[in-house]
Amino acid sequence: MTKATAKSPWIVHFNCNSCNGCDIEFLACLTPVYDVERLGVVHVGNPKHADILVVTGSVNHRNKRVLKNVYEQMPSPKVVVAMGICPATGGIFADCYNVIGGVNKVIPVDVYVPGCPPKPEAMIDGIIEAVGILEKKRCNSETVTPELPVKIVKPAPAPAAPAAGAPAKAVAN
Amino acid sequence: MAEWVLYGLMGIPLICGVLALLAKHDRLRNVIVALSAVAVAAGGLVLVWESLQSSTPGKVWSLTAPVQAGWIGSGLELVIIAIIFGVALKIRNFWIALFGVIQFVLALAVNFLPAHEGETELVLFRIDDLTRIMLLVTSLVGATILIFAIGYMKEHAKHAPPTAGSNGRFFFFFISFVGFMVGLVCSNHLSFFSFFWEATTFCSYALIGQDGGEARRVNAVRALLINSFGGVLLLGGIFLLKWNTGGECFEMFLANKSITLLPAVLLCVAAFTKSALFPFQSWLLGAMVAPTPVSAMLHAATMVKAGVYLVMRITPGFYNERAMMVVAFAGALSFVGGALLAGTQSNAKKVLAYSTISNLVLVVACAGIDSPLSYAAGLAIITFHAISKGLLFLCVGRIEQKIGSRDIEDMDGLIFKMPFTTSVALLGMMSMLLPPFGMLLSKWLAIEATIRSPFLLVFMVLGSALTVFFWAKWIGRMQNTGYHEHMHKEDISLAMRIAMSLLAVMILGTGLTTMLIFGKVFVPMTHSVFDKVFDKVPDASWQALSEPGTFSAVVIFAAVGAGLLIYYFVFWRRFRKENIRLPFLCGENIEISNVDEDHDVRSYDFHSICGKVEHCVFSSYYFHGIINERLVTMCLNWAAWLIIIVLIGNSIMATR
Amino acid sequence: MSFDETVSYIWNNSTILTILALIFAPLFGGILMSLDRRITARMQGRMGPPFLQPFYDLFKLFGKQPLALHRPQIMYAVLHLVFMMLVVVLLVQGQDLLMVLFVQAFSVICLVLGGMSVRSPYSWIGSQRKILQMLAYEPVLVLLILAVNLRDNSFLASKVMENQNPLIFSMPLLFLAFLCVVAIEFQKSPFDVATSHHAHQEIVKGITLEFSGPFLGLIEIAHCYELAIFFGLMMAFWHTSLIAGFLLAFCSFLFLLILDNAFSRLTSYWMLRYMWTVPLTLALANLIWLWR
Repeated sequence: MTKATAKSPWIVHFNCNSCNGCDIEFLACLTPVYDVERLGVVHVGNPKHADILVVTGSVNHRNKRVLKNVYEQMPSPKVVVAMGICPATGGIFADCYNVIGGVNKVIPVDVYVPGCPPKPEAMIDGIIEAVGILEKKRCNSETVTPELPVKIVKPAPAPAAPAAGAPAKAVAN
Repeated sequence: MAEWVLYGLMGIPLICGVLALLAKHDRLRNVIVALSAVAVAAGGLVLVWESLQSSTPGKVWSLTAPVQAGWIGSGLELVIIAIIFGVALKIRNFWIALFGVIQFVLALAVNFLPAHEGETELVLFRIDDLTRIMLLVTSLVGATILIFAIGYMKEHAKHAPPTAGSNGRFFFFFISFVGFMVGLVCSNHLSFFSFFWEATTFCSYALIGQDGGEARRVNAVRALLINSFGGVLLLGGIFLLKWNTGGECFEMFLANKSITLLPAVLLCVAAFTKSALFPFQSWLLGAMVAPTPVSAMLHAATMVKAGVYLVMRITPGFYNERAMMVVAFAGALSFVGGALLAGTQSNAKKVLAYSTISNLVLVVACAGIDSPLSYAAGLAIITFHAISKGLLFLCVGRIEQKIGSRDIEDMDGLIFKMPFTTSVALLGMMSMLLPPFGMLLSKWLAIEATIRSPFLLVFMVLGSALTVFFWAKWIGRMQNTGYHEHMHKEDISLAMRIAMSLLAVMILGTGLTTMLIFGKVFVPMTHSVFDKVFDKVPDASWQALSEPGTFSAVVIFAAVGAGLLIYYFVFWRRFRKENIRLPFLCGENIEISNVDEDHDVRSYDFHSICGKVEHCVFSSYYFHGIINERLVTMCLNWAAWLIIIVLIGNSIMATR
Repeated sequence: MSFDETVSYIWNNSTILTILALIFAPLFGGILMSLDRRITARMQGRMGPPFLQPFYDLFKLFGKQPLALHRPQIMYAVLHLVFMMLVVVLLVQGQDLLMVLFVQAFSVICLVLGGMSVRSPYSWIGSQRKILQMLAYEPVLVLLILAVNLRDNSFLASKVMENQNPLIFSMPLLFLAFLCVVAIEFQKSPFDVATSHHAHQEIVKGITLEFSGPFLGLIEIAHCYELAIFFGLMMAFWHTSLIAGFLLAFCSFLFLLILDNAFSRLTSYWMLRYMWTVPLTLALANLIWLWR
């Protein structure tokens, strides 16, 4: 059963406060180029069927309750992946008046994938890390996730010419 | 002894009715009603038992009397027609008065037609298998509805409109209704039959108008009008029968098929009015303005059952006539139409009314198909339908009193508010469409019986699919609820609780033994009816039943039992409160701590913009914008009139 | 006992056969599901999941926390599965086909009631659409069974098997109508209005939304049974030869997959209108053709 859990991570993707960059990149992982379904990943639309919660964007006062609700409606064992820099720290929105900060202010996060947005390879790598954690969590199926060592996934080496725009500022929690 | 029981069964309700009318105190009246219910139930059982002791073939018990006794029937008939005529004058309705005059003339004329020479004795009353079934249905279901009415009317008096008649008046008509119905199913002489027929018409008029007011008056008058029209046809049929054969009893229909076909068809159309087939359905739909026990009585035990009884009584004599095929068509058309329109309604009583139409006309269709198998299926539908529909009306009445609405969409969360009524109602609804209950079995047999006639078959198949559609929607709405740790105990009066439990037990009992009842009761009955037509009913008719491994209730109940055991041991016992979650509303649910037990509707409230709390409402499919009730009704009415014209024309041609 | 004797002994012993069918039907259904996902992926130029993916999914679901909204919901999921299994038992025992149909309908109604028992709008919409689906396909199935009765003069599944002429030759039009029914049962576009793997956005998985963890697992197993049952029924159209029957069913299955990928999901009323016109007419035409 442990093996089965690792082979069938179903993902729900929650857009907290994101600029949609990460979301577009994340959905691109489902395309034939990356084809995450070969890892058994299914992108389910609702928390009730999901194992992995992928959060993009920072948390603000309006959506922290929603995020918590979605998290609570997932059956254990479950893993949270913070996809991008905003859900890790708040990103460039960290100083806005309405932003609380990273996702870990509301729910426990297991994997951080920094980047703005992270490359699809990094995202897939983050999911695989999450699957590893999921496998370990099998034994204790409690709803409240205990504090776990936080992992940071380094993005793959950037291409020669970095894209214009805000440089990714990876800050560990 | 049996004759005294029969007189008692017809007389006691009338006497009790008068006593209830005269009783000054509510408590005294309740005792009288309860006693009359017990007397009716016991009398029905005793009468059935006594008649079974008869040694004649088919265990037919009959009460013979000198020819002159026929005059009593005619006299009573004239009296009741005169009463209806009086009512027509009082409410100033030209058509009812006209029908009354025609009826009066016909009833009088029948007596002056030459009768058989040398006949000294008449069979006034006669109890055979069909009658026994109807007796059981009328007396047992009727008695439970009487008991229910005690509790219901007490509550009803509190918020009845000021125009309402007194409870004494209500119970007078209500109890005597049962007595008249018993007389109707037992009488063999047609003058008695038509007396009881008119008497039930009059009772239903009085009961529909019970609460007074314009809407009720209109509907009561409509019921009277349509049923008087039926009465004219009935008397016309009787007149022709006597004209052609010189006799006035049911056996006369078998005398010479070619000359009795037209009277038989007229009687069938008269039965259509009573059973509310299209195009006569409007009075039954209007009748739901009456207090709910009246609807239950009309639908389950008395009025509409009288019509199908008449059809079942007449048709076996006309095996293989083309006219009977047309009758079957009229039935099949109403079957689909009723089921379709029931699917478009959200008013619970209207859904029930349409489903009654749709189910009872299935009986008419079965009788018209005229094969032994379908006849047996028709008998089964009458029986099982009476129990289930009686129960459902009682439940809807109770729910309406409690929540003040009869809209199906208002019935969610009821299992928490009134667990007893709701679970009994769910049982009743499931018995209408799920295996292994009797209704499905009968429908299945009806489909198997129509296999040789393609067009009927399509109607049957579409109709039964539509039936599933509207029942499933309703069941779903009723058992929709939030999470509750504990159930409330329901506050319900003893009379209502007893009546509902009795019917629920009957449903479970017949459900468990469906196949047994069918094989041991309905099949022999059909044999005794059809053995007159064929020399012997060919065994091939029962192929569907005799094949191994047909409809076995045991298997299904075993599966349900196994499922529930697994559920209990594997899931129920491991159920933890911590594992309760709110439904998925994109995470915008309000906090679970805000969901209190009494307002569990709030569990699908959600946060909208600016932190406003919005209420999420969802409805079922009612084909809004696709099916227009008025338009469909109009089309169906036209088609049904056409069929009736074809029916009568066909029989006139056949008679010539 | 030699191998042949063993096979014929098992074949003639209905109890053993039933138990075997109960064990292997969901396995076969799972394989079909897996094939479905892999072939679909190939059509889209992807690799697709591993072959055993449906079984991984299933095992995983049973290891998850049993979240529910209330107790009756669970009961309906259990009854749904039990009655789907009963359908398999009745079919293997060669029972009355109309009875089989009613039990199957009961099973679907249990699922519908489970979806309606909770206060969730998405689940509610899914359930309503499932009822519409039933309304759409039930008449065609009944007509199919009646046509079988017209040919063999019996409703028993075992009698159909005894006739030496394959059904497909006497009822080709009914087979086409039946394919539409199978498309509905397999949750294939354009008929997958009640729940589907692709309908995340509009109704969030519809009827199965509120079932999570092991309860979703129960429903998935029931769906495996359903796939196996309807694949078996398609095979029964050419029952005289196992290979021909399998090829027929498998080709139809592939055809449905192509249909699934080529079509978008259409509305439920469209489905109702379509099912009550084209397949119903086909079925009727075939029925009249069989008339004696």
